[in-house]
Amino acid sequence: MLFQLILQGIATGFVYALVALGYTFVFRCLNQVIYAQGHIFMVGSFMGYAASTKLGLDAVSTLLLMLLAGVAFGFLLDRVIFRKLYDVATMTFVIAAIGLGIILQNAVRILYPEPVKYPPIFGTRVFRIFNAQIAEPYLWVIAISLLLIAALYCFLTFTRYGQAMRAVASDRTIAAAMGINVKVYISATISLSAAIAVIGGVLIGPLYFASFDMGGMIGLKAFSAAVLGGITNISGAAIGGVVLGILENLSAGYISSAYKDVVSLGVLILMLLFRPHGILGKAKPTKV
Amino acid sequence: MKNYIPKIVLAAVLLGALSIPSFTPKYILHLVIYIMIISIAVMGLGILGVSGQISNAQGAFYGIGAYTSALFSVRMGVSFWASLLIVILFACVVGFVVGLPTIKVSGLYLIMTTLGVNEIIYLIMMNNITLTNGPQGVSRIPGPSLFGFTFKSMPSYFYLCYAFLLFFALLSIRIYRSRLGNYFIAVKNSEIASNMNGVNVVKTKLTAFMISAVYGGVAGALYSGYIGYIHPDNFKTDVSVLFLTMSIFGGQRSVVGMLCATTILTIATEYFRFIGEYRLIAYGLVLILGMIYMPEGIGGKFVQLKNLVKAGKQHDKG
Repeated sequence: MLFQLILQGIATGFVYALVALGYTFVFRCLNQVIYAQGHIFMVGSFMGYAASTKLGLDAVSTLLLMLLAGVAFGFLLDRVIFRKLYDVATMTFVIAAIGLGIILQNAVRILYPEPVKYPPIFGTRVFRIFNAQIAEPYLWVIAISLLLIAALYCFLTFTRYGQAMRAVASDRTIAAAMGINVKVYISATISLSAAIAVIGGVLIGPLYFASFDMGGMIGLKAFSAAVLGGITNISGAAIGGVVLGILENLSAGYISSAYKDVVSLGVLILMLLFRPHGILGKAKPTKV
Repeated sequence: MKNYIPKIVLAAVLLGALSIPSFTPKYILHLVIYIMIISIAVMGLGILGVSGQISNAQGAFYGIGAYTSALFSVRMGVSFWASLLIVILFACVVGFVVGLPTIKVSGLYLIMTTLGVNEIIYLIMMNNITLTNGPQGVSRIPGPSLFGFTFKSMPSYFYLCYAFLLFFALLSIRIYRSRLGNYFIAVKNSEIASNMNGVNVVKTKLTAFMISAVYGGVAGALYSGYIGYIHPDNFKTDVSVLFLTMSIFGGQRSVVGMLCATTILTIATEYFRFIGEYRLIAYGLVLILGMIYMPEGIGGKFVQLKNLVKAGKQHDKG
């Protein structure tokens, strides 16, 4: 029972981690949070549904197509909305993102008013590991997320483009003075964060029903995950997501499933109170 | 002489508003009452905004007010007015507790913390059935009455809400202009500097939170007395987000701006009905465009207008 809950918690946790990574990227770059990250995730889930049912693609090609679609979607959002909001106050940015969330949620509601059941693109087999049973989609979630996080890490650390992206994140003015095209890299960051949220949405599809109103809660939990790990830290987001997923699953199993959300939100509040820079992040002194 | 013009206009609008129930159809009157009730909650957020804080839990305070008032009057037969006192006390206490994180966090983190608080309070309303009736909601809530007169009819409730709205609007303006209001602005501009100048930052922030909670609670109590039936879904995070967007859209320093924003956004959600399912998409567009082209809100536009007029006058003189 315990092992089973932990294993499933890890899988859910990686989905939170993917959405949380989106928050981290944008936060490092713009010092803002795209409040609608959860809704982008939800749109991704439905795009994956449409691709796999209408086009009849298998798992790998669906994921690759969605990666491209996610980048395109993020680029579109940046061009239409966020480009005009790079330098506004936090509140203004948040309200605009809330508006975006409302638009996405209701656009999907018109297309898919009922929750939809995903086709079994990630297989239906059930594996036994020690005394726990785990279905194939859960393993896909863990494997793909690990792969994606590793790829992102390598991209940011070892490639020229990744280094430029980090330069833009750490100081926009200096980066611009060094000849980096800042706007392009901010746009790329937003596209990338949308793409990983979309992949997260495709991965979670077979585990639960996809419905238009799932974005808000996932967005909030992913934010807790990002804060738990340290919002400025990429490995922090991954660790935070996994820890939160395990905690939540354990509390659903041992305390009460009605109050499992209270646990993850309580973690958020406690973290913000006692260690707002997260497990791995560094405290930033306030400047006078 | 010219300085009196805005005041005369304001007085005319205020007096003119008194005649609304006599000529408007029932549905419009219902909307007006609803707008007046939520305006009170939105103005509470304005007070928080002036002190440099943001809350996404106003819907929860609205809910706490509604539930406290409803449960006390349904289960214990307490009158509306007595329950209002309990609401105010209770809102103060919860506002204090919810406000505690503000000592440590601000900005973005505060939005998320309060959002989490709201979600927790919603889950309690939904799942703690012995306390709140859970998903069944509370029904047959007796409305307020005064000296044997019950505010049952819609026009009478209109006047009741009008009085409340006027009281809280004036209170807001008083607070903005008081010493406490100056503390709020000081804390917003720089916590460290105001601390150095002897402003008790923690106390100021918590006071702002408690005042805004009382606004939300009273609005909730008025709502439950008006509708007569409440359900946890009426107080979800969506409601908090709605209140927050209204206050930001209005520009939190301007009471009139917030009233305008509440009216415009409520009417927008109602009158976009002709485009059916696309109505909320239009609403989202209004928010995005508003934030791109009016980042200071409607109140900010008023200030711009005022400055323009002033500049024009000086130009005439010079």
